Amino acid sequence: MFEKIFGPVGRFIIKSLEEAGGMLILGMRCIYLLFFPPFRISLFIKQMEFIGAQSIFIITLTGLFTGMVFALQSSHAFKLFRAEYLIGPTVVLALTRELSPVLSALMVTGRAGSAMAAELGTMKVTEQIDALWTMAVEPVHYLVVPRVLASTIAVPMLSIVFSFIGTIGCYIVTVYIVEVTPQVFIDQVKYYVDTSDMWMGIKKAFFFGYLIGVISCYNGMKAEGGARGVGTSATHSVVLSSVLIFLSDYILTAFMT
Amino acid sequence: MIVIEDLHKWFGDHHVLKGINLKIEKGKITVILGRSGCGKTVLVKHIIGLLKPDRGKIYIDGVEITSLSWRKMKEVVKKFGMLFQNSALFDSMTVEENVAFPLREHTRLPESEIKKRVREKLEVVGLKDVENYYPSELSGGMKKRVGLARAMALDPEYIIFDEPTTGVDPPTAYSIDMLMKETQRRFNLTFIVITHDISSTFRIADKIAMMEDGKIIEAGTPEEIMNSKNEDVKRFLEAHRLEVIR
Repeated sequence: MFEKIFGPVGRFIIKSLEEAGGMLILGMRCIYLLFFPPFRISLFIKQMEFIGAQSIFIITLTGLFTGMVFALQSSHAFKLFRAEYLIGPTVVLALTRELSPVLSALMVTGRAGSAMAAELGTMKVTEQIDALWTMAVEPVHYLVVPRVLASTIAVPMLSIVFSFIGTIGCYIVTVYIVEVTPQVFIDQVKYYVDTSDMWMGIKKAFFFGYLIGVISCYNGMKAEGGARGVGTSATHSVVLSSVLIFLSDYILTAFMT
Repeated sequence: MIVIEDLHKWFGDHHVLKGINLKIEKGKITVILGRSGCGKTVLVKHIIGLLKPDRGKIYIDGVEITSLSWRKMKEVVKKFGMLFQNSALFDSMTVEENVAFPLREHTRLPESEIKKRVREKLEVVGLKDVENYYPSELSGGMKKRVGLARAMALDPEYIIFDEPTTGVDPPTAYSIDMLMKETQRRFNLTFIVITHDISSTFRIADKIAMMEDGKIIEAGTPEEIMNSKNEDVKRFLEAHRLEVIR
């Protein structure tokens, strides 16, 4: 009876701790190996292209509509107080501090994180990762370091693009639909938003990028059991990355403000 | 020479290797024979450093490898090549890129020399004009040959074969056996073959180590194994004879 109730709970806790420990070790090992040659620049550029450049379209689209929708929704509230001039700073502040890093990270998780986990998972179940080792190539150095580094650098860059495009979306709605004058919009944004707000978002995005890279690679490299195992590892990496992005966002915000 | 002393490995509660003692001599084909799941693959993964033992020691040319750091282990691993059961070719790379991979990673040879060496290695395994194919475009037997060419790229002293004849038809299995034997004799390499295929074992082996339930139960020349008094060995060989008769 006791075993029936507490057994699964205990096993879940042990498995979760093992997983967290595994990810932490992989993350630390990745930073350590970053400083050892050979420096695989071409692999890094390839990953930057995949994680960063190929995500620009989706980030632009998401950023534009997030800025527009947020401006439109908040306009209803601000109209009540005849404070439409505050739509710009409110939306831009929310974008730079919160929405851009979080939504960019979620987009990268869905698009690139799952693909990374699936790719490494396939390599794992077909013994390609073992083959790397037998050719005296450290798999973490060859496969994980370029991906984690690219993800850590690409997500902040995408977050900046998201903020910029989101601000344009907000400008379009505020100026052309709510009819706030362009000068008022620009003045108010300049007055309320400063570089520290932008830095806050960039720092968060930097951490989220690292998190996505490590979680996706860890799940890929732990895949087992054929096609189903690969699918499970991809799903698991997306779910875990998304949850941890929200969780760590709260913790980071609490520390930064 | 490879010396394995009292090697133990547990996966959770499962005791997979139960005190393996084995000597693998240079310049010979040693076959580790045993039924599926007896721990053969786990054993060779220890030899090449893919797994760390829970107890016991492994000496490769006098160097104890179980406690080596990756930097030092890397130099030991360079002495090895490995052909995996499903060849484990990089599916995003062409045949040429696969065979050239270890050369590009570990040497500073010019591209023209790398291409020349790739051609040479492919010729050794009996393949021509396949450089631009992707692994998905090759047959099972061809994949094994490319895998062997890749394993030989850095001119290793030891080559490990994980079930080389599993999953291929009998004529292809025979041609792979002959290729292995010919290559080993030609370059005087040390081959370690793990298999459950008895016909293949007796075709190629200089020495056979018979494994059962995580232990080496008998080791010797093919003749010694054939005449073994060990009941488990006799049962294993008898099962094969019955299968052939049937």
